[in-house]
Amino acid sequence: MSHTILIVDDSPIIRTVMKKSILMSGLDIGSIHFAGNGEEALKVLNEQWIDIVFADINMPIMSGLELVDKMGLDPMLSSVPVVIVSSMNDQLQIESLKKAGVKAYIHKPVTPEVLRDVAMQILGEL
Amino acid sequence: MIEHVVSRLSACIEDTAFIFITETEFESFDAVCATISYETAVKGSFSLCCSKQLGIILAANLLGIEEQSNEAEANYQFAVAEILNIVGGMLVPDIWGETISYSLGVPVLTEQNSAQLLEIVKNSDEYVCFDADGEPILFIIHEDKHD
Repeated sequence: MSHTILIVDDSPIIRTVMKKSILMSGLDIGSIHFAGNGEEALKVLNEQWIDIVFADINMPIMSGLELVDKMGLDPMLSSVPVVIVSSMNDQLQIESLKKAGVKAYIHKPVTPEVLRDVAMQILGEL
Repeated sequence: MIEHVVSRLSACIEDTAFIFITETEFESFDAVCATISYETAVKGSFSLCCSKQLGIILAANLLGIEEQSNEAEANYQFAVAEILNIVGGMLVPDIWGETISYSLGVPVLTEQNSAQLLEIVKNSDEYVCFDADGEPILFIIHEDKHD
């Protein structure tokens, strides 16, 4: 079964690197969607079925933290798995994100192997 | 503080862009700069500045494309911002401790001519300059002062 992925990052270069990493990961990918911040991500999520969201934290307009909060409050989106991909290494924040329902936390720079392992673990739960 | 910068920046550029850097004396240059604010027990900012040519090489290597491609030139500023983002996220816990809570801002991109960059360096708290295959790359630390 092919999967639909949403990549949320304000950096166009990271969106491209993430896309390439996901395509190289060996996962069965149906389509990949993009958003530059949390607000754009919510629009995509309301228009399109998404199997897994990879989101950065530090973004303008709406951060990854706000995105996770808003998804958690929406019954249609609360079950969509979110993986945070960030350079932040704040252990308190990571714990708080996991309590808020974030499935995994990947430190940048990402590799196809780490993306594949995390995605397979999460998508296997669906 | 600088030893953390040397270690983290070298590793990040080597791992993500496959370029080795070595410390060198600072000589000003026309630069693309990314600046990111941090807030923990203290507030301040980190800046990463390099030549446009090195920015293009970083973008090309991050994306796995040719340096001569339009896509590499279109992404050179974002490449500098992303390297800074990754290094900044590692530096705060390196410097102030792994258990500390902190936040980082969104990278801000600017172009600085040689004279402007010299002023920024003069007003900085600390800086360290590197050579990357003949191109300069500069890391600057600025700590907000309380009156």
